Amino acid sequence: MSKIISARPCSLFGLLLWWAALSLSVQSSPLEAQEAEQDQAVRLFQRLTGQAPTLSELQEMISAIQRGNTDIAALIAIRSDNLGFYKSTLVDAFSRTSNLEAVRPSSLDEYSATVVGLAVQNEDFRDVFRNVIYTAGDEEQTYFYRKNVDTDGDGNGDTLMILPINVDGNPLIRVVDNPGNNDNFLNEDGTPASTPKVRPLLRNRSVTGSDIRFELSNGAHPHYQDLEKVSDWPLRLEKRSQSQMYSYVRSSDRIPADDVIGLLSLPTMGRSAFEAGTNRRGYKMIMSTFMCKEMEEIRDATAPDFRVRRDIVRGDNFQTECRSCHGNMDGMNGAFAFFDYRDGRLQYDANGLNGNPSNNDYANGSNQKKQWRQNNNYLPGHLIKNNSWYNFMTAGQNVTFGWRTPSTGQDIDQGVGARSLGETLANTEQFSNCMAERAYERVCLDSVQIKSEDSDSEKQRKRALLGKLAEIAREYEQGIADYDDFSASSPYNINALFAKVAGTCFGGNQ
Amino acid sequence: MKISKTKYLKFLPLVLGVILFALQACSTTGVSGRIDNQDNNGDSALAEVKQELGVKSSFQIFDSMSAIVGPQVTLRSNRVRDYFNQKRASLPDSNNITVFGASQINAIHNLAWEFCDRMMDDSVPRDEFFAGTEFSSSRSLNTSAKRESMASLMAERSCGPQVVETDDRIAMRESLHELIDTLQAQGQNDDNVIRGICTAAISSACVTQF
Repeated sequence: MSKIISARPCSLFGLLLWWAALSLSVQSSPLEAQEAEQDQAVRLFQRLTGQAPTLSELQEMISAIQRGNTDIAALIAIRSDNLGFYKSTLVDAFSRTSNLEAVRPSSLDEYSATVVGLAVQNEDFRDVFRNVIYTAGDEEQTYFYRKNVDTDGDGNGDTLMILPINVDGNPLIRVVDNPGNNDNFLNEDGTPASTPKVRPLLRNRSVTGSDIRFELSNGAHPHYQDLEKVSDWPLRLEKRSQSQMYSYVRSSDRIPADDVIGLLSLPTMGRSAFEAGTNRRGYKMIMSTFMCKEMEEIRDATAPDFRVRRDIVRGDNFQTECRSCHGNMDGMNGAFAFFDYRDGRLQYDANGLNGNPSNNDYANGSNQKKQWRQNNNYLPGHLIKNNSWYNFMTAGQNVTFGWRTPSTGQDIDQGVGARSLGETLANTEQFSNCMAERAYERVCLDSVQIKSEDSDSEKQRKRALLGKLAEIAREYEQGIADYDDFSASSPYNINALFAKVAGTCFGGNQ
Repeated sequence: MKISKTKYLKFLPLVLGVILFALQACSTTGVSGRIDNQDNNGDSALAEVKQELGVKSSFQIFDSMSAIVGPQVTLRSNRVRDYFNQKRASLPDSNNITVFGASQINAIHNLAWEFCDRMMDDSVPRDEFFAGTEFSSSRSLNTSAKRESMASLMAERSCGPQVVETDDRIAMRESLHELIDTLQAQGQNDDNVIRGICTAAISSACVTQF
């Protein structure tokens, strides 16, 4: 600019042109500025909640944007009474990561409800790896479930009372009939019921109480399907322990607290990870869902291979190709040794790998011994007998995960049981970085994944951006004191992470 | 070829919806910014942050429309949800606006029609939607002032309130007003007219884009 000002205009026309250009570039009326701030606030609110703001919310957000606090404006949206951030945005963002197909399930399930529960109750988001599940509160689970079946063999249908139970194992005895009827969510005048009726998560399948199920119906949970009809369902969620819930399911299915690994040991994600196959998908899903890493990105041919199983043929390319994935993968997924998903539900059997392999053990591939399949391919290979695991990613290229010893003192290099693996993963920098990337992609609609076809400048931009997101992730891990007014200042608060990230692309607080 | 009144009722709001869509889509652009950042070597680098324009995914569109017409519409009947589940594949699957096509605009419009039609069919959500307005009982559109008021109501319910009224909003109101006139000229009764402008409003870009 100084160069232009010092230059002598060669003609009147040139001077006029210069003046007009300067005027156009710097002049902007206060009204236009207000419109721009309003547009920014509305867009931010829509991006975070999927809805339009109320007038008071809009005014508060504009005021925050004018002060340069776009992240505070984002928090106003996140905390909106419409609950759109939780009901729509978070569910849409995370539910797609619960399955291999990366599609959003058609209705609410325990995976999304648990993510939302952790967010709305300002819990430590590392709990996605811990012994947690969110369900409706006991008040909402109030059915006697009636089924018309022939129980005495006389050819006539008998009314079978199926008792719902709460997580303490006690029957809930309040009676509401006709489960699933929409009237159970509304008062007679059509207003939402204050105590809507939701089919229980756990129930006795028979009057004798011998078979208590975490019920699935065509792959969906009636409990969560009903809960989704309650307009303020995120506020109805209640935190429970997975191991407590499962302790009332059939004894062969019990998952002890030491083997619970958060969302992965819940039915929705468990189905994707542990149905058929060899349980290696558990590792793949953890890496893609919680670490934002695909298998190709974490290959490392220097990883030790003593845990690579017998089914992997040691051919000419084993050392350069097979080992680069299986070294790390087979080391880690020993933690999932006792899981299986069959007959429509997640099952667990701590004794399923006793004895030695026989031909029949791995032939059907439909029990824990599916992990002994193709046992004869390489007999010196590792044979899974227990749920111990090794983490070889603390050396080599994957040291960039930022492995940190958890406060529990868990050894990050090896352990026993899925819980200890979950705690190790939850405390990595990469988990926080990944959540920041997910928030960025969701709120800013811009990808940070570096692709081979990207130009050099685009790769440089993404690398710099990943660096910035990593800085935000470190703040999120510590907790952001400025967000105290919104109850979002605690460490690992996912609301704070979304707000901080929104502040980067919607301008204001850089 | 003779076009029936019902066809007009669905076709005209679609045309208007597309106009409203283009109007608002063109008025907003992606916003970029730059963040000073230090790389691992301590060198300063610039992280260009993008905030792209996006289209809502199928579920987000369903949630947004449901919030506008009120939760009663989907709670008191499974009709709209069933329709959505049947037609979900024809709605946008991602937020990527570069793969957003004309057929998806049509699908959005049809979903909006289902919401509005169901709302008008059931007195409970209908009365709740119009609660506190002069249309709460009669829903009469017999004067220009009432038509203007109805257009304003639909625009605000769909796109939210404004502190500073923008040209886009004025244009939207005027377009909705014109649609009311057109549908009335076709001989549609007031409830059908409201179905039409409701469809145009809730399928507009301010609801489906962000």
